[in-house]
Amino acid sequence: MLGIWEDMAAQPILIALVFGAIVWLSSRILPLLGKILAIAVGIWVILCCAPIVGAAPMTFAPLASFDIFGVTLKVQFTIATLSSLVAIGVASFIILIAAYSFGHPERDRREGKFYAYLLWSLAGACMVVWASNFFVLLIGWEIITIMLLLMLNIARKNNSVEHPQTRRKTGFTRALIVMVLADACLLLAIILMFALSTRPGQPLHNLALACPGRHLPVDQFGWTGYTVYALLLVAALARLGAVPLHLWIPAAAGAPAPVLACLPGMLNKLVGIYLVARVTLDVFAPDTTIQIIMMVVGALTIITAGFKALAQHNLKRLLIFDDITQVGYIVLGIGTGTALGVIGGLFHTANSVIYGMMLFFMSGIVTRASGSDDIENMGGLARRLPITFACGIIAAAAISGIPPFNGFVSKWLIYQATLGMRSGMGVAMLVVAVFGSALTLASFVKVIYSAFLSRPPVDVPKSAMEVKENFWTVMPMIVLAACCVMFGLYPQSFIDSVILPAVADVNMDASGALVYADRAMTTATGGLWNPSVAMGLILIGIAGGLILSWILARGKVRIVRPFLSGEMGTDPDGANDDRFRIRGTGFYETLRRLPIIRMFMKQ
Amino acid sequence: MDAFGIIGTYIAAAVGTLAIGLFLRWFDRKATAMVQWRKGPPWYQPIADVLKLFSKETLVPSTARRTGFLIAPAIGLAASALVAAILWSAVLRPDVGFVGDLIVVVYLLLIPPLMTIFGGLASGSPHAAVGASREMKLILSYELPFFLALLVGVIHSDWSLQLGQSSVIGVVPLYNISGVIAMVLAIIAMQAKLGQVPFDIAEAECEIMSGVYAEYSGAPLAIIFLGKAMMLAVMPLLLITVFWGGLTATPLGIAAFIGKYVLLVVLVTLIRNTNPRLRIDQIMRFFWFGLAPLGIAAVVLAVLGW
Repeated sequence: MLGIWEDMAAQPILIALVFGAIVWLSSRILPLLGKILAIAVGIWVILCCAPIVGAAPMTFAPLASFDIFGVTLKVQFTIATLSSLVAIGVASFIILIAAYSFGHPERDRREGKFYAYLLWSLAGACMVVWASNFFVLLIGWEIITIMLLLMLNIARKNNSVEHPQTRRKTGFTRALIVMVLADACLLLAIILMFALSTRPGQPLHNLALACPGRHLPVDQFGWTGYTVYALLLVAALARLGAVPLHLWIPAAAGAPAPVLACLPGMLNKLVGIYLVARVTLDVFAPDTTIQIIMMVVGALTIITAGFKALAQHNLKRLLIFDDITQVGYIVLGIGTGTALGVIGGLFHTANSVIYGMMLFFMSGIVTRASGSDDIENMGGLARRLPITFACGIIAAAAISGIPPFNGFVSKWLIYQATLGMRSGMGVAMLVVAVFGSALTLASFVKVIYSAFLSRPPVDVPKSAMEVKENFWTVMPMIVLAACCVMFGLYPQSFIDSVILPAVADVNMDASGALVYADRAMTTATGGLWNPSVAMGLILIGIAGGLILSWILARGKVRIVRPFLSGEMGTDPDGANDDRFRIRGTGFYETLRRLPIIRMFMKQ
Repeated sequence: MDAFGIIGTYIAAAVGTLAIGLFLRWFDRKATAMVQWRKGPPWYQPIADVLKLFSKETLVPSTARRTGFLIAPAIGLAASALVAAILWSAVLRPDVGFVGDLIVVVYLLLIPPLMTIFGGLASGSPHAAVGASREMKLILSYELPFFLALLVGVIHSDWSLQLGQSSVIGVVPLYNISGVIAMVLAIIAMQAKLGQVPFDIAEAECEIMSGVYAEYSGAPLAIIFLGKAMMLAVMPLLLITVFWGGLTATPLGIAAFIGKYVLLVVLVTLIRNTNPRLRIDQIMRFFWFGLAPLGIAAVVLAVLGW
């Protein structure tokens, strides 16, 4: 037991597991305790990890070991910079989720158990990222799967309470099937690894995971190698919700905002991408076939999820599909196999978690303030929720890749990587990626208009009208919005301190090298982006325009009735007249009538 | 480049492009008048229009989100000024990179129409909401062929995204099959990006009362007017930089540059004067199922070296 306490990896995991159990037991009596403990354990994990960042990788003595079929399975942890950073990320985001839920009242007492699941998934995530071998990784992975299903179960029960007549399908069974199949793939991959003969010091020897810089060519083992790689990829992609394994994710749409921010928003992405990155960077060196498959999966995900998002009328489903498009960019970036692509993919993971969580937080407040999660029943919230509105715009701009926010920088890196391939394939991927970001933008024009700027519907429930912003609901969004702006304006420091150490000792095609000079990033393809200068100039431009208006117009402003086609509204400005309410849900109906597009836009 | 150099470049490019843009607005109106057997306005008319608009009071509808409604045109203008600065410094000083590459330009060019959408939506007017949804569909439509066309230029310049390296990107010759297709696509996409007939569905005065601009007046409308003038000057510049050899510093080169510029603006004017407005679904079909396959063909040809 003492050994566990001294093991810097096992100790936070154990603490998270134990405190999770305490929260689970006390969830009905002390619902507040879960939130406080989640924040406390999160801070503890960050404090444990912080000293390790930047230090040399540390492997601890095995806590237990046993032999099966001539393979020694060890319960052992290795802490390195990338894994610690992922753990710090998970812990910080869990703190934000717990903080957010202070201002997000539970709808029933079952939700108190959510914080126990949150702590257990933190333990699972730490096990996955600190695992020395695939055996420990599998245990952590399974913990997260179980937590995921338990959290989705909350969503299912909520839905059956909220929509008893319609008996809306939640897709829980579908999620269950996909998750079980995906985990079976992971298990099968690990069993197949037993068959691969590797020497000590190489990856996969005794299922070892952590041998940076010594990864094996995937074709070294013939078809077994390919099969193992493919199975690992399927497991990770199903967790990420990449097309065609995305079908389970919309099942989460009924879940409360904290669950959404935790699962598709954060944990799935970080853990799934971590597996893809480790397998691709440290274990197997993928060959061209696998790279092409990854890129095609990425591109398909971007396009399919992009059109699906455009077609949604339910806010949470729309956000989930838009979140899946981001997974497409990440897989595409890593699939290029170039240094630039991998850097872009990993950076995009961090960015997409930041704005993804922000959007799910936004959806929670918006849904409560309009009494419905249907876009049709929302409107006019910009006046009632001004900070949420501002944060929503920043998140929407970031996810759509509008400069100078963080989403643009990482997408820009991925674009550079695809073009750096100098092939028709790379160009095709680039076109899909750029078009996909236009689709995302279009779906957010619909969201921002429908939720915040359109006229409110006449029959908003009275309880919803009383919902206001409070410190706990807006604070996490403001923190994340600040990250969006900071990472957008100063990406170099994040790339240098977080991403580069993770990929430093990996043999990759270095054709797309990234150079910083004079505050700008440049690439071998002649790419150039200087975000802080661009932002400064745009601000100067805006100031110039406003000063010009002020000097010449002297701020003469008069409030008038809007033009309503010459009609008189029921009230002077027609604000509550439903005749003048243009619904955002109708924005893209034209697309449903176009051939081919019709198939993508099916509800 | 030091901070003063950067800010100086930006301000000079913004003011210079605005001057060119206002002149081109006059040119466009004069040419239109000539097509229609009218006399047309004097050369200073666009400047007079802007000054008069600035002197009028600003009307804000009671349903509007005031800050967003008033600031959106200024953001759009600032972003197009930044594009102008990037392009002019690529044309005039091709050795020095400035702020961004071609992808940055493509994304910065999204901001002005996006701000039109945002400002329109923030006005709370039903006409503006319809107009904004049309503008977004227009962006979705033209973005695909426009980007494909630009990529042809990139591929021909040795896969470089760097703007204005006259030895690299400027040499895309029009006698390439793919280059010709791409140039035609880019000209049509330019028409849509400028919101000119036959793609002016977001304004469509006689259908939705100027749509996105329905509630604008006074100073914000003047800024929108300046933004449109700026875009009219920026888009031909982009096309010349990417497809048509940029600028060479000889008297003949400068004359050729001005000639190309005028030719592209004349094309815009002629297309807008000789076509009726298309419906939104016609536009989407035209761009996605007509021009995009052509663009893909052009990219394939370019990859093959044609």
